[in-house]
Amino acid sequence: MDFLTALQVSSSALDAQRVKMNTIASNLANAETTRTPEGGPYKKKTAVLTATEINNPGGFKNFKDALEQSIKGVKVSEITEDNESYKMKYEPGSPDADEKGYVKLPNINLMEEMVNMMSSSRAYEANVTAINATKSMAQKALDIGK
Amino acid sequence: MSDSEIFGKTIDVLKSSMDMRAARHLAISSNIANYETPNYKAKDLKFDKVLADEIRSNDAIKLNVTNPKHFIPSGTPNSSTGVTVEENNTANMDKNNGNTVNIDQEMVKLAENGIMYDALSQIIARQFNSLKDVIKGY
Repeated sequence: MDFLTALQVSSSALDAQRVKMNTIASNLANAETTRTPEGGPYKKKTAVLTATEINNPGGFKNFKDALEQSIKGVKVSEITEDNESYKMKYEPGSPDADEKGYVKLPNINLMEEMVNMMSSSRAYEANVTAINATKSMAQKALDIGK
Repeated sequence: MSDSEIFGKTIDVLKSSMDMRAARHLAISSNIANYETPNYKAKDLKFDKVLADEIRSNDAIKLNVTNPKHFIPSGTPNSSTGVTVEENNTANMDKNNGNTVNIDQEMVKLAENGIMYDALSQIIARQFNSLKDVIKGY
């Protein structure tokens, strides 16, 4: 059923954007975390989005092939950690300070995270709109016989 | 008596159109889903072209030419019509990750496509209603 494919595509995007929002929330929450179970300060996480095949593409008889190859959902393929470039802050009194008095802080730019969060949230809304459009189209098709 | 003798060719054409609007909806949903995916190229179905091909190639909905003054749909009939999925390869200026989805355009296309689908479904419903009136006989 073809509208179900459209719903699958859009819901895969909702899923991916939600994961992205979670990594952003985690980055914001840990913007000043200096200790982690793995040792060292918190590492900035980034969700990597990848286009992916949809499991059961619908059955448009004439143009199934062309569509089948081109319709892509989206998923988070990996969450990368930024190992480089910690912020060094001079704070000799801190328990995490090194011998020179510097504290290693995670390299998280609050502005950048906020902007990513807004863009992610807009993408989520766009997909919700697409889902609503799919639903209303399916409903209109069902109303034909009435 | 075949189906098309009762229902005429209009419903076949409308059926194809609705199928293709649904297919285009799928392409647009895919574009919106991949709005932030690096290197994803936006896709679209060229609806007018596809429908024209379909009308020319599909015997069930082909137009009859019973008079030399009738218009003949131009172009050569082609039975193996596939949908042309066009990829947009124009680089997007506000993105530098190879993604070519323009979200505003996609949202407009989504709305437009949905409205056209609604319109088609209403026309089909009215076709059936007129038939119903004829059958009831008042």
